[in-house]
Amino acid sequence: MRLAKLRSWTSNGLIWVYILVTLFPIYWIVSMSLKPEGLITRLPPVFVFKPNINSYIQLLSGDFLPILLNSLVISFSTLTISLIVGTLAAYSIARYNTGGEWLTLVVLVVQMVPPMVITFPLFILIRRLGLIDTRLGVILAQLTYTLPFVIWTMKQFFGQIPIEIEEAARIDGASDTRTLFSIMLPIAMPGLVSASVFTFLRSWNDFLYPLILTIRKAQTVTVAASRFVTVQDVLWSQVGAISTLIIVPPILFTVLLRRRIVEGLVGDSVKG
Amino acid sequence: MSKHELQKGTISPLRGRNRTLAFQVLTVFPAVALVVLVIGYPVYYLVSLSFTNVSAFNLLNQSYRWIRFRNYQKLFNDPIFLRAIAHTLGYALGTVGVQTLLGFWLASAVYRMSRLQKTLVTTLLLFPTMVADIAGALVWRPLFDVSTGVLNYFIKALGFSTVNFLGDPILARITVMAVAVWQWTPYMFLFVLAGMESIDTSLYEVAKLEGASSRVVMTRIVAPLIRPVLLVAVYFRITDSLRVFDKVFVLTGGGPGSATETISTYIQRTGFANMEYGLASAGGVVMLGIAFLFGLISLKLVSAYND
Repeated sequence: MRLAKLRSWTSNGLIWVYILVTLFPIYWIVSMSLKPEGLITRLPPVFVFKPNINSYIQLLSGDFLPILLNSLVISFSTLTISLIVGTLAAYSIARYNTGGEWLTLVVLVVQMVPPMVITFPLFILIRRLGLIDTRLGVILAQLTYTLPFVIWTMKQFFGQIPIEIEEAARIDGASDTRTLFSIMLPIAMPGLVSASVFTFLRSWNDFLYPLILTIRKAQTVTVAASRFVTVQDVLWSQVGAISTLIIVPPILFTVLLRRRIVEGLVGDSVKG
Repeated sequence: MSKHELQKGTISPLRGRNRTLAFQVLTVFPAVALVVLVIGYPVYYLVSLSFTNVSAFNLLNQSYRWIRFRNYQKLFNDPIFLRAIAHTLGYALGTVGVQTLLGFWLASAVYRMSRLQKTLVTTLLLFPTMVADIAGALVWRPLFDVSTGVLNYFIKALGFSTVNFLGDPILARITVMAVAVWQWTPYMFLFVLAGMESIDTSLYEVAKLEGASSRVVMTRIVAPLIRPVLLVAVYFRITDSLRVFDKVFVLTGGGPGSATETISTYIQRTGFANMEYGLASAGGVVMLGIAFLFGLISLKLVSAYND
C-alpha cells in the first residue's frame, strides 16, 4: 500500500509540475506588465519586485483606450446579434424542421470553411459596402463563423428538450412566440451561456479578420498587440500589459464558468 | 395526429399552417440571408477569382485576364507552396498526436484526484486552451527571444549555448508545434477524462484487484472503450490545426525563410503582401478542398459514433 501512496503522490506532483510549467508564460507576461521597463530585460530575471501599474496607465491614457473599446464593442455586438438571430433560427430548425435537411447541411458545411479561405473575397465585399476600418465590417465578418456556430449549438440543445413541455404550453394556450420566450429560453439557459462564452471569446480573440479589415480606427486589441511585438524597439511592459488585457476575459470565464466551458468543449459526445 | 409528417422532436402546427409558416420564415430568414451573403458570395467570388490573374497591378486598369488553370499550375509547381502543405499536414498530425498522448497521461493522473483538487487542476489546465491562438503566441514570444528571453537565460545558466528558438529553421518548426501542444493538450485531456468518467467504475475496481498498473489500465481498458469519441476529437483537432495562422504569423511570420510556412500564411503572403489576388484565391480553393475533405471525414466519424 505504501507503494501505491508513493505512486499517487508522484503522479499528483508531476501534474502540478506540469501546471506550473504551462502557466509560467502567463505568469511571466503578467509580471512583465507590472515591472518598470528596465527590470524586464535584466538578467538574471527578476522574480521578486514591487509591482506598478505604470504600463497600464500609459496604455489606457494613450491611443490604446479606443482600441480596447473597439474590441469590447465588436465582441458584444457580435455576441448579441449571433445570439438573437442564431437562437431564433435554431429554435425554428429544431422544432419545425424549417429548411429541412438542406438548411441543416448548409449550417454544417459553412462551419468547415476556414476563415483564411474567404479572407480576400470578404475583404472585397466589405470594401464594396464601404465598411473597411469600421466596427460593423468586422462584426459582419465575424458573424460568418459565429452565427453558424450558435445555430448549431442551440439546435442541438433545443433538440434535447422534451417536446412535452412545449405541448403542455400549447395546450394552455400559449402562442408560438410566448412559448419560445417564457418557456424555452429559461430551460435553454445553460446552452445559451455556453454558446455565449464561446462566441464572445472567439470574437474577442479574433486576429485574422481585424487584421485584414481594419487600418486604424477600428483596430482591435489583438491586432494592436501584434503590431507592438513586430516593431524593433519593443516596449515590453506595454506588450505585457496588452497581452494581459487580452487574456483577462478568457481566464475570467474559465474560472467562473468552468463547467459550462467543459460541457461546451467536450459536447455531449460522451454520455455520462 | 397531424396531417404533416412528424419528425422526432418537432411540433405539429396547431394554429394554422400560414401563421406557423410565417413564424418559420421570419425566424430563419435573417440567419440564412447573412450566411448566404457573407459566405456564399465570397466563396463564389473566390472560385471565379482563382481562374484569373487579378493582382493589385492590373486591377485598376482592368487589364486582368481569364487564365483558367494557370494559377493552379503555378501553385503546384511552387516548391514553397508544396512544402507549406507538407508542413501544415505534418504540423497537424504531429501536434495532435502529442496532445493525445499527453492528454491520456494527464487524465489518468487527474482521474484519481479528489473532487476539489480535480476542479482546481481542471480550471488551471484549461487556461492555455481558452487563452487561444493569438494570446498564446503573445505570451510565449518574449520567452523565446535569443538575447532577452528567460528560456535562453536558463539554458545559458546550465552551460549550453543559446538556442535560437524562432530563428533556426528546424527549431522554429518544433517551437511552433510545442506552442500548439501547450495550447491544445488540455482539450484532449478533457475528452479522455470525460471518457474515463463514463466508464463503469467496476471495471477500474476489477483492474485494481488484479493488480494492473495504470499504464495497463489506460491502454487496455480506457483506450479501446473511448476510441470512437476520441477519434472524433482527434479528427476535429486535426481539421482545426490545418487552419493555423495566428500563432505562426505572430511567432515567426512563416520564417525563417519559409521554414514554418503554412497554407494559411502562404495565402496571406501571396494575397496581401504580394497582392497576387488571383493566385491567392487559387490557394484558397486548394485549402478549402483540403478542409472539406477532412471535415467530411469528421462528419462521417460523428454520425458513425451516434448510430
